[in-house]
Amino acid sequence: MADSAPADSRGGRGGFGRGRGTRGRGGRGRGGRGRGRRDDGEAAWVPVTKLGRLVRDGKIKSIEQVYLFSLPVKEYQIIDIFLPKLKDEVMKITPVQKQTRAGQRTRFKAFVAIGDSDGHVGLGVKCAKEVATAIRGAIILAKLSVIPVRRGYWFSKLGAPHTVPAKVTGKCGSVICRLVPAPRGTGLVAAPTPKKILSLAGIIDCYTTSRGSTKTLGNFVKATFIAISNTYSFLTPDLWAETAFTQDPYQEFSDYLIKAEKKNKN
Amino acid sequence: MQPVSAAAPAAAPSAPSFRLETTNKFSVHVGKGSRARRNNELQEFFATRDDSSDDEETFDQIDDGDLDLSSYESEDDKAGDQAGDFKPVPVCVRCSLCADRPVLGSMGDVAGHLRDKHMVVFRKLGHMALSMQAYVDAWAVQITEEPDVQGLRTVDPETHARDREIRERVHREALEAVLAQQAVERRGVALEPRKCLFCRQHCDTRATLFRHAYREHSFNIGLPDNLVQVDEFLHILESKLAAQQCLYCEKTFTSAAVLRKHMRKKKHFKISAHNRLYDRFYIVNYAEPGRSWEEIEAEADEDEDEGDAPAEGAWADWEDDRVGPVALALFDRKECPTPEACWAYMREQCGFDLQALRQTAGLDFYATVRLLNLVRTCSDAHRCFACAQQFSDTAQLVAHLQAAGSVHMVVPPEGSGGVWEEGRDYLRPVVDNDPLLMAFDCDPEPEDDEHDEDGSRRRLEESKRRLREQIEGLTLEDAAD
Repeated sequence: MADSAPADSRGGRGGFGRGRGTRGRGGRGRGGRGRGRRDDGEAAWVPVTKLGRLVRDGKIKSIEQVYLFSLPVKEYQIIDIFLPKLKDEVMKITPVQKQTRAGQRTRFKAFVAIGDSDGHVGLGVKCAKEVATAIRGAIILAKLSVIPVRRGYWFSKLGAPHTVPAKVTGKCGSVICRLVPAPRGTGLVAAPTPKKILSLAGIIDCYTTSRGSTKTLGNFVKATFIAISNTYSFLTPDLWAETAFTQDPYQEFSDYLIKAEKKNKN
Repeated sequence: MQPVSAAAPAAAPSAPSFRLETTNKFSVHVGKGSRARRNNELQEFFATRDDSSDDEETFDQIDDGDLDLSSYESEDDKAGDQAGDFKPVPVCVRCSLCADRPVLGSMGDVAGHLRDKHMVVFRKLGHMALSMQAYVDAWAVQITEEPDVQGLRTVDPETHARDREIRERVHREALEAVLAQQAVERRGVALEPRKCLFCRQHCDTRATLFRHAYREHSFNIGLPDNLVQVDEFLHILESKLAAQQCLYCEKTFTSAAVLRKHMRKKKHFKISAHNRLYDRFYIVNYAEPGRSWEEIEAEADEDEDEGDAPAEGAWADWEDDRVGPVALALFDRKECPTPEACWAYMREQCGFDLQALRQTAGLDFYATVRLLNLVRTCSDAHRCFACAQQFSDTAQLVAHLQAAGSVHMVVPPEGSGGVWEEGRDYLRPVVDNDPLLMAFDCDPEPEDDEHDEDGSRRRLEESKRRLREQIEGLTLEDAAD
């Protein structure tokens, strides 16, 4: 019984549903909740920023180049191209209420952590009327906030790095979180929620200590995230060697960008 | 087939749709009064065939069925009446005021029962439809507390403050319960494979199932993240389809083929927005009861995040409501709610003060971790960590420590024959997720002056002063030779 419609007519039916007045509305019905769904997965991405254009055309080989020059990333598709194996985890959905003239207005706030368990981690918060919209927005913000994580050794430099390279600390609100290197096999000695962030970052062994009101998990998680991001801000002797400065991508590919812009203008 | 060939010669050669050369039965013209149509076996055949103006090819042609827009108009305009077209939503509420707790089957029953038996009328009872049981229970408590009111009592949320409180509390609890359940589902059931409702395809996770249903069958019941108790929801839909009932208009059909034809023709591959039966599966209905989801969606999307611009505000909304791992005391494994309570308890019990110990012995982070793990290992074996004396149980150990006092508690020396076992580095936590290991760093370590700004400023001033003295001491005579 073929009631799966052939491809062309499905597009036509969709167009028909949206074209005709009342039919269009009826055609959505409960699907009002599905607002924002595209017909196919995603339409092709048209980059808006210079960095996006360079990334889409494969001029930039890895995300570490973006981090090296501290280029701000404004489009989440850039992160998708460099890090396809990112896994997102919804940590909490809370209802948030605001008093308005027309009574109380409830919104849903989604906290999402994203990481590839191998040196990149991101956190996102988004508030929206519907749970699905909040989650999707939070995932996008988490992707935009992805940060590299430097891992090191506790004592012997055998095998792969497994712990933080030095004692780092992060502060958010009243919560201070401190990460201390640990020997192999210790595991993550941390509260359950920061533990998730640390495992998404790819840190295998670590001691944590915390001060302040750790009941505000939001601040606690953000403090852990800041501590993780400080691993690359910590100067250790192996970084003492002189850096050979290179051109940043905007300069290196400046003529490519000019050509691309001219093409867009015409 | 005999009837068709019998009809063939009956048709005049001038009939334009008559084609002898085809074997496609769909295109042979069968007259209105012909015996073929009266044949019982062929009823269904003709029913499907005559409806064969397939939407796929002729969607832009209007036929009579499509022109009947009255049902759609009534949806938009007469929303209230439309609710009557569907069967009343079955609820299962037990009246907590009656001793035997009778089961009330629908909202009408509930309202009627409360009015007749207990002399109380609620206004806007429909707003509480999703959490009826909790509301009735709360009000049962309220009614038994209040003195007897003569006659019919009317409870209106707009005037009655207590009712507003009760409603708010019930709403909040229901919303939190629903969100918690959704979190559980997201980790568990949502990852299980399921068969599609309309075709034979198996989909790996719930997200792929919904996407497949939307792409292949244009079936949209919303994004899976907005739903809760999805298993039940899909089960209800499946049973409706199995009973040959259209999901949208709820009309029953004779067979699955006819049902599919109807749904495809009328575009009923969806559920009705006005059918209240499905309200409880959508989270948005729990958020602001009393407002339909259409109102909430129509509300302009204000920029909510402007108020959250300071980063602190955005993250502070998430409070920990779970009870984390309890802190176990070092000597007798007593459970304390927080690490601070645990330290205080141990100070009281036997004078064990970790901070003092760290100061006197000058222990850094790793030394403290090792000490804590050592104490745990020894105490589990009923040994005193300071003097290596063995006891037979915890009570004796504690008594010894209390008698010996805090003077006794020093870090035992390393070396063979001591308490420290050979070959163990005591850096692995003895207890999993030990909160004490995460919370002993109350004061910064002595050598931890990375952030000691005052100290560095003092040193800077000191070196500046010394340099100034040296410069003043220099005279031209010194340089001359």
